[in-house]
Amino acid sequence: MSRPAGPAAERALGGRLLRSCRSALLARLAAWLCASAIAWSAGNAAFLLAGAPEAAAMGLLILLASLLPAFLAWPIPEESLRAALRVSDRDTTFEAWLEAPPGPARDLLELRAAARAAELELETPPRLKPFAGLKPLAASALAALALFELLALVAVGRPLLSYAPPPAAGRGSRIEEGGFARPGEADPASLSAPREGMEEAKAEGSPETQAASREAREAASEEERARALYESKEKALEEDLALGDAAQKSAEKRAGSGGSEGAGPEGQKAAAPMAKPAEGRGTERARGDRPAQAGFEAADESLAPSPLLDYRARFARVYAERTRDAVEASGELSLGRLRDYERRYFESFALSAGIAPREEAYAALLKRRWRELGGKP
Amino acid sequence: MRPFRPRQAVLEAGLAAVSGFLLYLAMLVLEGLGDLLFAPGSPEAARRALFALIEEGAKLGLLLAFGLRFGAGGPRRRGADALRLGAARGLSLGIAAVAVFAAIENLAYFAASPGWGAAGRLLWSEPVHLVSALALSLGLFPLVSGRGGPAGRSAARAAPAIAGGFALAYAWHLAANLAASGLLLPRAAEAPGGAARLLAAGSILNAAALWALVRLYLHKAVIGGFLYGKE
Repeated sequence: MSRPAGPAAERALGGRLLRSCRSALLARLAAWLCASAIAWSAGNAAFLLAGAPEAAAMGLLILLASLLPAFLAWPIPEESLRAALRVSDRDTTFEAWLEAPPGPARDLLELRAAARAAELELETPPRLKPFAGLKPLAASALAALALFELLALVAVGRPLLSYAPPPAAGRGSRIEEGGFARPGEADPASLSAPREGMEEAKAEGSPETQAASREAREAASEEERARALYESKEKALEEDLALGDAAQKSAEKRAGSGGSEGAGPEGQKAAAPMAKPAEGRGTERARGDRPAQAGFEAADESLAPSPLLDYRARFARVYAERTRDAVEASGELSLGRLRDYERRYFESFALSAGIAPREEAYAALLKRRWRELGGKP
Repeated sequence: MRPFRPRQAVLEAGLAAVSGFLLYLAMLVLEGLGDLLFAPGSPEAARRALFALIEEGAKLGLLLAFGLRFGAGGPRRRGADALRLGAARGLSLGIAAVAVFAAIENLAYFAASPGWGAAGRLLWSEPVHLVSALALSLGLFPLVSGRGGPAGRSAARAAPAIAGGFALAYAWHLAANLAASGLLLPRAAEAPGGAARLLAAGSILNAAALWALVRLYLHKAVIGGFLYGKE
């Protein structure tokens, strides 16, 4: 078999066949895209269900990209080349020229082939169709992608381009349970809440407005309580003054009548508790739940606490702070040691430092330093 | 529109995939054996030269097997009905098998060191394998298509083409390996940003060589084999 002598015929025929090859390569590229989409969807779905590491998706991507040359190198189908030859060589001019043995007939056929090649260059090449399996493959790829997105919506709640491992278990449970968010941290569940949910929240009162109204109610009740306390204190003071006057008058009357019972301040103090028994709270005080401050309504709130209790509380707090949580002052210390500690804690520095009663500590310190430096007093 | 033959496509795909995997295993074994020849402290360039020789030799054997399997039965040209790809079909399947081998190698590198670094092999290593496979295929084509002449003289006449194709494939592969390991163009590799520039330059060079060899393969093996068949 001899090669075509005419370069024009060879170029024209080769160009048509090369165009068919390019079309086949484009079809391969499309087939690779479809097959990769199917494999990508199936692989990511499997990774999602199996909880594979994040690198699995990257590995699959590298594998699929590496397989592109295998698709492109696949043999060009003979049928497409043959169809391209038939379209370009309807009257088998090229075929006859290629088959002819060397001789005068071959020269004539070569002339006809050259003329046909010139016609081919003026003709518009026919549109090439893709191979038959491309459409079902593309449909399968779309279906696979849709199935994967559906699975992602069910499993993760949002569409995914690529598999990503689920977040840490703590965060997931927090979202599922509807909020253990840190203060000041926006909850993802609340960020992703739909508009309908926001409307419902507005109708029922959002958490912020509910908290604000709760605070307002608490502030109002606190104010009412303070006002009631002030009123009761004022009322008790008036009653106390009235009772004090009455007791003084009766004492004066009894003194005037020569009786010695309850005379003087002691008698006044003893008379006060008898003046008005606490209504409703007497039994509470009788049980000893609170320090007895008999004689005044709500006296435990209105009166200042005992300085001794306050000192002990302060000392207990300082002692607990310095000994941390290991020791509690009231539970571990004996009464004698507790008093000793309290005395040492609250005692006057001036007494322990040997400072004169009327002298200030700072002035004494300056004087002592002056003496140490050799200065005269 | 040509008919789609899924059974034949699956069979050929399976053949290429299995061949690529076997090629990878064969290279593992051969390179492991070749590594035994070198004592510790041997020149790295010598090791890489041997490994490139082993890889290109294995690829040559694979492509020769594919070409002979599909090309030996290729008809001599007898009319329009005899239009067949023949040897080009076998060589194309062999190149596809080499691509499968390169994909497995990429995956093995990714498994050894996960990260986007393995993706750089898509621009460097895989084109090198394809360039060498195309060069080998073009060198083998006269032999497996029967273009070398009548039986007995075919191999002798095709030997220069085979040697030329093998030399080109081996030189390309070795140069790429030495450049990647910094043994070739060490100053360029060690300069700041030199690795990235080397990767970019190598990728462009590989792409250009691949483009040229693909066109040559299509003209010589695919279209030439289809039109002219055996001599």
